[in-house]
Amino acid sequence: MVLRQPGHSIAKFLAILLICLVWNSGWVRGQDTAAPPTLLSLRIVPEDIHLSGLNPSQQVLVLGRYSDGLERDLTGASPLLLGSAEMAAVGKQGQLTALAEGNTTVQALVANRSATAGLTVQSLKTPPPFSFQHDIGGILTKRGCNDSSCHAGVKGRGGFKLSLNALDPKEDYRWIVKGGIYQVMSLESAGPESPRIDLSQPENSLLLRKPTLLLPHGGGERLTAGSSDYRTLLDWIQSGAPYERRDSEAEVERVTLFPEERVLDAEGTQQVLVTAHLADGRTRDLTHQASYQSSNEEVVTVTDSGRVRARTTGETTLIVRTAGHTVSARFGVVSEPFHADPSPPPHNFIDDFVFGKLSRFQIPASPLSSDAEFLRRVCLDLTGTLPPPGRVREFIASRDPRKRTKLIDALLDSPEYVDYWTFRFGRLFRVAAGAVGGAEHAYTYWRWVWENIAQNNSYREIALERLAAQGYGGPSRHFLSYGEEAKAADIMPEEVRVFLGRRLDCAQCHDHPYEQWSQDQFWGLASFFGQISRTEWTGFGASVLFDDPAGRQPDFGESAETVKVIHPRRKHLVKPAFLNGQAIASEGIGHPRREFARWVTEHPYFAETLVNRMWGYLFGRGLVDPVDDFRSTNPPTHPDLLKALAEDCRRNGYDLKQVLRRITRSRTYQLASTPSESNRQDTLNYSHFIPKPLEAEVLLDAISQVTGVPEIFENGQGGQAPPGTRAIQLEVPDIYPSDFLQMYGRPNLLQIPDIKASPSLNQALHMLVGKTYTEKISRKGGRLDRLIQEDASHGEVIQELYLAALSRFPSSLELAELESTLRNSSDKRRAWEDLMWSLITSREFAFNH
Amino acid sequence: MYLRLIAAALCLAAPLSAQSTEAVTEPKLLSHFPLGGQQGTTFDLKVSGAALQGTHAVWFEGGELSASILKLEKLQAASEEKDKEPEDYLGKEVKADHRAVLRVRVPKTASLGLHLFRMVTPRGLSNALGLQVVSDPIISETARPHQTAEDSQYLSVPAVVNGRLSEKGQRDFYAFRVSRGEELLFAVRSDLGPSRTYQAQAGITLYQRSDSWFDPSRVVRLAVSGPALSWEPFQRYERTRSTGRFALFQRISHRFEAPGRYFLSVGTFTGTGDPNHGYQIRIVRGRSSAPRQVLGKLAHPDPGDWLERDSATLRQLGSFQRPLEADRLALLHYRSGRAPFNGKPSAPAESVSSQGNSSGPSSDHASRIETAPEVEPNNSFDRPGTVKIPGLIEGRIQTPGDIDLFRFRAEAGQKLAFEIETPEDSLPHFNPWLKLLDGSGNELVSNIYMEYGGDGDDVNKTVERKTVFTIEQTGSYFLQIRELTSVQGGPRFRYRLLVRPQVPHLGRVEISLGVTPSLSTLIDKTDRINLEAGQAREMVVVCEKEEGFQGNVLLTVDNLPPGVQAWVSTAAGWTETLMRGIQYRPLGVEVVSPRHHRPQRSATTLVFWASPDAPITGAPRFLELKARPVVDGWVGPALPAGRIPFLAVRPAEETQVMTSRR
Repeated sequence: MVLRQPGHSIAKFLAILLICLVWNSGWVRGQDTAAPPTLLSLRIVPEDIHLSGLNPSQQVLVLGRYSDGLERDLTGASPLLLGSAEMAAVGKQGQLTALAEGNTTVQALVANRSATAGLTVQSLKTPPPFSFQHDIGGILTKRGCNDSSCHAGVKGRGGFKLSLNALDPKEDYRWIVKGGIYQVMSLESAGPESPRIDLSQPENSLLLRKPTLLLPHGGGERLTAGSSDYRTLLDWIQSGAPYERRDSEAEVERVTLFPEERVLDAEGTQQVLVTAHLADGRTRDLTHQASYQSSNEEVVTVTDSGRVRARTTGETTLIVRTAGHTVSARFGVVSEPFHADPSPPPHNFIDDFVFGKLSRFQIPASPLSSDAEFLRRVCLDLTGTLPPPGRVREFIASRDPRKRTKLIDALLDSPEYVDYWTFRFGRLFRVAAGAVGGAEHAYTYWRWVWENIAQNNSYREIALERLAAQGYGGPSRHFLSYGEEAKAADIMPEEVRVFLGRRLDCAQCHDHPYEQWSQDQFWGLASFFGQISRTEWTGFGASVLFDDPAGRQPDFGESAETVKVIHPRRKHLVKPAFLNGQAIASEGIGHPRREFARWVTEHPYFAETLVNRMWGYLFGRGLVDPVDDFRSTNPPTHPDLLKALAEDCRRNGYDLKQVLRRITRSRTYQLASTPSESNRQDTLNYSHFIPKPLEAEVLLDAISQVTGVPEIFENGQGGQAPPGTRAIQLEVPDIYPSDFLQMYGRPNLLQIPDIKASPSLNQALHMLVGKTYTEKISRKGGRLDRLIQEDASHGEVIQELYLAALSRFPSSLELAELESTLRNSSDKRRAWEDLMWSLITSREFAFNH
Repeated sequence: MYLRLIAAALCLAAPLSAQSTEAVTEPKLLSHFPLGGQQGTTFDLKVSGAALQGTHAVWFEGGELSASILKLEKLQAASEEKDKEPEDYLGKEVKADHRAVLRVRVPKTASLGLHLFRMVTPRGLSNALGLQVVSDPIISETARPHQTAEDSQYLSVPAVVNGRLSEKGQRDFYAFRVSRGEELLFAVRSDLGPSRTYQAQAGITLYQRSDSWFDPSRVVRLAVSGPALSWEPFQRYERTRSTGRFALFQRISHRFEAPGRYFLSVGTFTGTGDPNHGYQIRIVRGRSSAPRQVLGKLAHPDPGDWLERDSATLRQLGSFQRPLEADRLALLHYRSGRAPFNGKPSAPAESVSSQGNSSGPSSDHASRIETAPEVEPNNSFDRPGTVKIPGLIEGRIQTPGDIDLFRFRAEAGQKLAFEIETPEDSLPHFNPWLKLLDGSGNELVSNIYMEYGGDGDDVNKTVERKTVFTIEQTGSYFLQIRELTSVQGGPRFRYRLLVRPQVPHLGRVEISLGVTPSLSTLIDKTDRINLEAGQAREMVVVCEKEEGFQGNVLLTVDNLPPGVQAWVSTAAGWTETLMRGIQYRPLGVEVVSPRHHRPQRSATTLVFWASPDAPITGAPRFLELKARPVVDGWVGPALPAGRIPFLAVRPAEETQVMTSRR
């Protein structure tokens, strides 16, 4: 065995040389010296302004399009001019407040450019219909009272509980008007109910005195006595604190945010508009009744009134909350706008969306990858396998203009594709002996995954089969963790996370603190899994899974109540209900999981989650990331692309290969990984391919492949996997212990794996002296042994090892330097081993780039 | 000459003896190769085992095969490790220390199936291993390594191959050719020595060429129909009665759409292998000759192996495929003890085959059972099928989710039994779910039984082959039958449902049960009796009393050699543990009353004692255990209850002296 010592001179030299040669070859794109941008056009948003009701107002934006491609907020740069000045008052920052009914125009003039919008004012004496959720809940939202860190926390605050963003107005109304001390696990008040409003003396209401600090308030001052919001609350209490909405047309159907995406220069600001769309078609400006939050205040900050200000280069999300609604927009900050669009010609719709955003965000794309870079990348991504040297030579030499497309198809048709995606979905579906109660059961489950991948079955069919699995076959084992029926409250969130990309777990015990998911929704969905039962067939852990209307039977020591799906707060038996509260149809009552499966696979989230997951596999991060954490506060970087990919996926019958084909054929996927000076900071917009570390199994297989020494996988039962079995081919991986895989992040699969690998000291030490690296290099019968037998020259060895490990030829500089070093070595074999060690411990090897 | 003891056992009050320990010096066979041979051939068989010194004969239980000992050698220390077995059921380590070469003769007329054989030594009989007798020519695995598709050994179909998995991780590859649309059946059987787990069972994988971009010579798995994991009949040295074990791809049926060359590999699921791990593959054409009918099935099953219901604890699995005989009622009446019986030993003509042989009892009960074929649609209460009592419904779950309903009329107080047979497929693939409903559609009972099992706090639901119920009110009733899951159905989901009056009778008689020293696990204690003069050996017998059978059970042992007697012993301290374990209620908590699904069970212990002057028996013999129902002073016929290989041997000291002199 040859131990690589850190101080070994040749190895050290080679390692440094490779690092220098391989990773410092990035190109630097020259920047044009740009003239100051000129204003090209002007527009007013909204284009048609409609005001109605008592004291209506509207935030108006003036936006200018400039020669550098950016649209800048010019609101306030010059006053708005009204055709009929008596109709409205104009604030300095573009806020119009109606004074008289009628029609007129609003005009903006900036640098010889003008824009005009229409203004209609009507029904000024008609008060708008009252809505507790939006009128009172809106204030509580704007003031942060129902934030998750305040009264919308899990337990509320100070005994006073509000729903997040007024999502549950009836509950909010109860705790305000009737009062009481909130309890998480019970509907009842923990103490005597004492209203938080005082109808006889409205000014003495706790609801007013606490936030104005007339009484001590842990949340500090949230209202100013006499402010507009204070007056609204006081008026509401004085009018008897009604809840009922007399006009259902006033219901807010949706809330929109303008702009949904904006690029700012280094000094840029942008006022946003928040608009409620009512059921009767009217709109209402909520800009000044919304709560704003920047996801990254290093990039942009935002004021209470919704003005966003650039700080440093980057991209982030603006989260806007109004009563019952959360919306978001993406903001980018560029340091210096560029003038040319350097993106390669688009190949498909993916490129249209990605390059379009790159253009809007003023980020230049890197050029297309070289053939060698593309070859290695796509082989690893589609098959988890390095291309053999012969194939590398062949591909690089080929002049076929369609060779990349042909390669993608060949890889998708290869058995290595089946190996790799069985491994990936096996991991997602948690195929492990420890997770399903036995190695043989894990094997049948694995076999099911394998068959689906090998036959390229529709992902929708796969999901349907798994979710509604019964009997004794592979997918049914998923519901028998540790050999017993999975609990409804455990298994449902996993299914939703895997197939719908949402994390509902928090809502099990309480309404989700950050999202719109309620406890009722959680238990309604969980109840679909409440009939899971099993027969014990042999007495040796073999079970047949089925849905029994009688439900799972209680284990000894459990009460019947604990195994039924009982709402923990409401204490009643929960019937299966979809997210919108709709109950299961009568014909589906006997097969609740089948109904659930149908609902899941028909839900728009399903396709979005799938394509996002596949995108994440290929790019190292999802359009929504983490890939199974869709939420309003974690919006996609490219929402339109996500929709288009999902639609494409649906249209193609949820064909996994087609999703992969679509993405890998895009120029976006095929861009070089070498960043330019202008896109080096970009990690979200795919301006260049961002290298990602190889998964533990793929890395181990790659080392075995390059060294020509297969790994031996021994198990605890005194056996071993057949010689030549790769790590990604292990059918029941957890029965094969492996220090290497453990060290590089193999998950245990007792829960959905999160595989964001991070380097560790152990890995570094293992690279230096670990047997995976050292023994394989020097093992007889390996690649080096063969080259020695063939009496290969230094040049041939260098080339072979480069092709095998890095899928490229060495550069002339690399070749010259390495040949020189090897020639000066007295021990040829040792020198070659050092070269191989240097290659397989290099970052270029350990990453897919 | 036969000595014979009649041990009158009032089973509920039957005493049990203390647990015995298996003698360390008893001979034990660990492995053999090859696993079988063809009818009308002679072949050499290598056997390894422990304490085989002085082996002087080979005993085939069925009596059809014979063998001579060509060579018996003591293994060197170096090779002992190779044959080292980790543990047997009693926690003792067993090492192979001898190897024998036998010449086996298989007559042309030998029955197809598994023939059990034992070695006869001065220390007694060994455990049994099985030799598979087949009709097809047998090919031996080539000596050339063939662990890749490129190196595969070519087979011409049909073929039976004897091979060996000598190394860890070994997979042997074989190649064969098929024509377009050809369907082949593949089966494999392993030598599972005493301590190998089911995971060491060899499985089959089929391959075809792939034209991989990475490696054009690579072969890829074929997706095959049918479940990967199945439950297979299992005969091991200490378990020769109805039981089974898991198997992964032990049987495969595959239709090849494209002609050409294909490959199969044989290996174990966990990649175990050692020089003694033999296997046997059988490949035949077509769907009709199911290999499972040959591989692994006993050529001479124990006639006392009466199947009445599935029960893992009592190792009676597969009862759903037990045929419902045309004379079922006559058979049950025969076991009831109601018919007068003169107390004389059973003549051959009186014996009853437990598996459908109708030559024993004669009765007109059979003629009264009418068959009621299912007529679809019959899945609603307004269009049910009808059946009379007694009656045999023959139906099929046509499609996934299909529900069949049948109406019958019953009188108050009528005691009924419902028995199900699923002739073509069984648990866990076809799980017939039977419900008895009243005239309004309310469930009265189903064939799902629930009891505490596992580690004591888990509820186990079992699908029962037989359910009994007493009708409370005269009127119309419905039987609803469906597949437990709603995703299975089709031609193989055929069922036969017998609706009949209950017949109190003696059910299964289980022998050889015991518990481990920790009292945690039920084990087989006796698959053979090697008895020294002056010593005793216990055997536990559990009797099942079905459908309210209130009588006693008279146990008799036939074919005892001179100087050997059998006695009833007092109950041992662990009797209660044993019985609770059998009842599956270790905590004494019932989820569902057992009265619809469980017989009354009682245990007794027989002690076999050889008098100090008992002569040794030169040849092994079966001790025949018979059980007679005793009701109201009538003694019923002698029902086969099991057979135990027996040998009276010299005392250990004497044997050692003899062996050393030799």
